[in-house]
Amino acid sequence: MVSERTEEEQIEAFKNWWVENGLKTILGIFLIFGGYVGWQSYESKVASESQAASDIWQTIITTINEAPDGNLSQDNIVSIHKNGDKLKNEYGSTSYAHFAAAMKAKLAVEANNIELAVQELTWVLDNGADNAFVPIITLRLAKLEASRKNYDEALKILENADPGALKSSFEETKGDLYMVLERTDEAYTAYNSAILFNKSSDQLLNNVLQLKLSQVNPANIDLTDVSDEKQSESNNQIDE
Amino acid sequence: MLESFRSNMKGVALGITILIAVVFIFSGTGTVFLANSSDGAVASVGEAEISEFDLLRSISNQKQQILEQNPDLDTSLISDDILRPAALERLIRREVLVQTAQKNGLSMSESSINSEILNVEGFKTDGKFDQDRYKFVLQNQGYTHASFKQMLNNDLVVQQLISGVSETAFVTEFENQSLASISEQSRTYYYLTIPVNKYSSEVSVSDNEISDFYQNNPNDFMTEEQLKIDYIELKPEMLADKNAISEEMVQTRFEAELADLDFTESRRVSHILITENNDTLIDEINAKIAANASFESLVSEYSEDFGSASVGGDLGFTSGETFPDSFEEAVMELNIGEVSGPVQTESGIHFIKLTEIQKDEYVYEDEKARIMEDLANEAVSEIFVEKLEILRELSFNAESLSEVAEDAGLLVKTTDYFPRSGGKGVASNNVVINAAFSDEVLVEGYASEVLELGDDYFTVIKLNEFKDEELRPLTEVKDSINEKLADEKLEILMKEESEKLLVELRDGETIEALAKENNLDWQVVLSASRRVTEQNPEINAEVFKLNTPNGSPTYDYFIMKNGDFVVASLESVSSGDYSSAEESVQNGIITANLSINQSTELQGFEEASREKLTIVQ
Repeated sequence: MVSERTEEEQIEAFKNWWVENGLKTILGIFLIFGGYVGWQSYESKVASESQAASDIWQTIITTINEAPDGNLSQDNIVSIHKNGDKLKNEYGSTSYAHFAAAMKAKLAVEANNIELAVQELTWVLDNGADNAFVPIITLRLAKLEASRKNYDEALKILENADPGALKSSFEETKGDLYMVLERTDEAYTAYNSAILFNKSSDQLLNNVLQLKLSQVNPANIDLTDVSDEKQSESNNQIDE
Repeated sequence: MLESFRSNMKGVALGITILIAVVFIFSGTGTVFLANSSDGAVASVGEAEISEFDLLRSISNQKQQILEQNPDLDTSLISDDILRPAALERLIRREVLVQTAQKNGLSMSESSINSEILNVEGFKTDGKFDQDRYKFVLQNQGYTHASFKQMLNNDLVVQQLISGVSETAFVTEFENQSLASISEQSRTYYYLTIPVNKYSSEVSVSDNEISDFYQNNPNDFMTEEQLKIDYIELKPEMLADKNAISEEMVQTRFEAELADLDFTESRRVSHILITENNDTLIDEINAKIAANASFESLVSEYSEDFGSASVGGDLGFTSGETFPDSFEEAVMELNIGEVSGPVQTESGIHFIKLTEIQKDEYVYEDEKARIMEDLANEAVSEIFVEKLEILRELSFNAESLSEVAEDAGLLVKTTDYFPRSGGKGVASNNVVINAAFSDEVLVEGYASEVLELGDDYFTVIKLNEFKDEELRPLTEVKDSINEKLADEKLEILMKEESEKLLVELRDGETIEALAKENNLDWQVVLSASRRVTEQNPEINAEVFKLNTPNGSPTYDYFIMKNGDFVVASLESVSSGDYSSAEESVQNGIITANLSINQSTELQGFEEASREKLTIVQ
C-alpha cells in the first residue's frame, strides 16, 4: 500500500533533502559546467590557433595559384618563405607547418639550393609529420641526395625507411640509383618490383617504368622469377 | 511558506534548463541530431556514415554534370545503378580525406568560409551574392545553412590537405637525367625487309582444309539472332488533320490574335518653326497653307529650324513620345498629307505636316498556315491523351496489335529484321531494342507496355517473327576462310624464314650479307632518336623496344602493318643527356616527371590514410 503522506510531510522531506544535498547539487552542476567551459576554451584555443595557421597556408596557396602561368616572382618567393617560416616558428606542431617546410624545400630545389631543401625536409621528419606524409618526404629526401651525387646516402635513406604505400616509387628510385652505380642486376630487380607494386593507372608512369626496365639487359637474371621476387620483397619488409 | 518555496524551486529549475540549452548551443548537438535523421547508411568510414541520401545527392549531381557536357546522351545509359558504385567510391574517398584533414588538425576560420560562400557563382545574381538564391539552392540540394557550411569547411580543408601534398612536389636533376638517359638515347641498327608478296605464291589452301576449318569453328560462322516487330506509333502529327480546320476557324483565330496584339504605329512628320508668336506671320502662313502652297517651299521661306529646313522640314518618325505633348497630340489628329494649324511648344510655333505612317503589319495570308497548324495541334492534344489511354488499356494482354490499332484508330507497321545491335527507323531506338529482346516480348510473346521514345512520341511493340542464330552455309563463307587460312600459312612461312635469318645472324652473318644473298632490301640507320625523324617510324618504334645490346648486337624480327617482315640488328645504344637537350625537351621531361611525382605521391598518401580507417560498404 502506498503511503499517503501529507503535502506538509512531502515538503518537509524535500526541505531536509535540499538542506543536506542542495549545495552539492548546485556545486556539481557548476563544476561540470565549469569543466565544460574550460575544455571548450582549450579546444577553441587549439581551433583558433589552427585557423590562424590555416589562413597563413591559404595565403601561400593563393600566392602560388595566382602567379601568372605558375611563374612565381621574386616577391612571391620571398613572401612564401616568410609565411612558411612563420608557420614553422609559431605553429610548429601543426600540419600546416609541415606543409610549409615542404613548400620551402620545393622553392629551394627550384632555386638549386639542395642543402636548404634537405634541411627543410629533415625538419618535417623531425617534427612529427603524419605517417602517411613521412614516406613522401623520405622519397623526396633521397632524390635530393641523389641529385647532389650522394648515391649511397640516397640508397641508405630508401633502404632504412618504411616505404608505406610508396613501395613502387621507392623501388623505381632505387633502380635509377643502381643504374648510375652500374649495378645492372639490382637495377633490373628494382624496376621489376616497381612495376609489380605499381597500382597506378597513370599511363605515363606505366610507360616510363616499362621503358626503364627495357633498358636494362641483365646478365644473370631469370626473367620468369618475377613472382618469387615479390614474395622475397615482402619478406624483407617484415624482417625490417 | 509553501508558495515561496515553490517559486524558489522554479527559479533553480529554470536555471538548469538554461544551462542545458547553453551546453547544447555550444556543442552544436542540435545539428548532429538533424544530420542523423536521414535514411540508413550505405557505408561507413571510421566513425562516420555515408547515408543513402548523400549517395543519391551525389549521383544526381554527377548525372547533371554528364548531361551538361553531353546534352544528346541517351539518359538510359546513365541510370542511377550505373553511376552508383563510382559515386559511392567518390564519397568514401572524400570522407577519408575529410577525416585525415581533421586528424591533421586542418580547419577553416569562420571568415574564410563566409567569404567562400559569397564568392560562389551559383549564389550570385547580377554578380552579387543573392540571399534568396543561396537559400533556394541549399534547399534544393537538401542542405541547411549549418550543414552546408560544414560541407564547405570539409571541402576546403581537403583542398588544403591535397595542396600540402601535391603542391609541394618537385622534380630533381637526378630524376630528369634518369629519364633523359632513356628518352633521349639514340640507337644504331641495320634491318632488312621481307616483302609479304615474296612467298604469297607459295601458299595454297585445299578444299579439305577449308571444310575442316568450317566444321571445327562453327561459332565463327553463325548469323546473329534477329527479329522483326509489329508496332503502333503515336505522335501528335499523325492525328493532326488540317482538312478538319475550316477557313472560318482560321479567320476567327486571326482576328482574336489581331485584337490582342498591341501594335505600335510610327508617324513621320515635317514642320515649319517660327520662334516668335507673331500673329501676322501666323495668319500669312495659314493662308498660304489653305491655298495649297507647297509645304516645302513654305519651310524654306519661313522655318527657323535650320537643321530640318534643309531637308524639307523633315523630323523623322515618332511613335508618340519623341516631341512635346502638344506637338504629339496635333500629329495624332492629322491624316497623311494634312498640315496642322499653329501649335505652341517651348520652342515656338509649329505648323506640322504628317508625311507617312508605318505600322507593324499582321497579314492574314502570312499567318494562315501557322494558325492552321496551331489549331490542328490544339485539337490533337485532347485526342492524343485519349488515344494514349486506349493504347495503354488495349495493348495489355492484347492477342494482336492489329486489333488494338483498329480500336484506337491507328496503324500497325512492321520493321525489317534487326539484331540486338539495332536496325533502322524505330528499331534504332534503344528503348525499342531493349523491349524487343526482353523476356516479356521475345519469350512470352506479349505486347510491350507503352514505350515513351521522346516528347509526345509513344509506341507499343509485339514480336512478329524471331530468327534464331544459324550456321551460314559453307558456300557463303568459303572465300573468307580461304583468305584467312592462306594468311595464316603465309605468316608461318615468313616466321620460319625470319627465324632462319636470325640464326644466321647469331652465327655471325651480317644483315647486309643476308639481304644480298636473298635478294632483299636492307638499310642502316645511324644514331636514330626515339622520336621519329627520317626513318621508317614503324620500324624505328619496334627497334626502340629491343633490349640494349650486351656484348653482341640484339637481333629480332617484327611484322609490319602491311604484312611485311623486318629482321633487325640493333648494334649500339648511347644514353641521352639531360643537360645538353633542347629546352623544349627539358621542359617536356620536367613536366612528365612532375606529373608522375604528384600523382603517385598523392595516391600513396590517400592509400596510407585509407588503411588507417575501417571502411565498411
